[in-house]
Amino acid sequence: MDEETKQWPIPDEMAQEFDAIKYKFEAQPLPLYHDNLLVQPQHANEVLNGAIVEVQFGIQHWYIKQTDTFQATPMKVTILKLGRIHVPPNYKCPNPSEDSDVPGQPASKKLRSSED
Amino acid sequence: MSQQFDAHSYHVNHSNQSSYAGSHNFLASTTWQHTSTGLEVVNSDEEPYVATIVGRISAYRLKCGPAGNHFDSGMSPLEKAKYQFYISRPANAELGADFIAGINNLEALQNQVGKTGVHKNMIYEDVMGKMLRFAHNVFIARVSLSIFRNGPR
Repeated sequence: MDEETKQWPIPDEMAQEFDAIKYKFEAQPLPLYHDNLLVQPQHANEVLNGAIVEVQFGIQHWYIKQTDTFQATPMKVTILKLGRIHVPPNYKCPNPSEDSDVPGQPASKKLRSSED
Repeated sequence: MSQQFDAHSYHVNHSNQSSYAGSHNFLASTTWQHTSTGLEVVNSDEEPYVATIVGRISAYRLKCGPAGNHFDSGMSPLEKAKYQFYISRPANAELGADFIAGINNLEALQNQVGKTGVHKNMIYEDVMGKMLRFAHNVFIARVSLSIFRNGPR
């Protein structure tokens, strides 16, 4: 199997479905670039949201079930200007100054030190 | 660190290129041709045409993670998953005008081959105006080497 598919960061809930297809299909990353670096798929939504992008694309047409269907297929997506990236925190404290000593409130996340 | 994006310079450098969707000569440089399953836009060398457009990525149905637009327990199998994103008109006046011109040109391309008057899946319109949808397969079928093993002897 190719390295890309072997290392593909599929969400856990889809792992079984992915295992069933990975020998017949290979994963291909979205050709999304920022500062000439390929953006990894697990970060793509976050990086794309609200960004100004240049898209190089092809155009296809199918006539299916009496309907005209078109597709713009991106060949390269380049971030020209990032949007306001919102990284959802995995922990939110209502009041950082009181977070560690309030009963019933979880303590803020501590960095592991060398003494631990 | 990346340089700050200069929208005016981008507009000046690109707006006269024929592959830029918002340029005046975009349509003249395109032709529809048959493929094995439908039609595609090609250039004068009969190669798939590579158009360029600039827009702002919308949060609407932004599905570009490792499983694209696939969702667990959905009807469609994982191998059909697609990366999907929409771009809308940028707020910058010059790039915004380019985007509108590009959409108009793409609608004209659709009208060249569309028979039904209902053109689906590429240009959408909501209260914000028109958006362009992009889709790209997440998975592609592996090419089997066995097709080369049974040639004439």
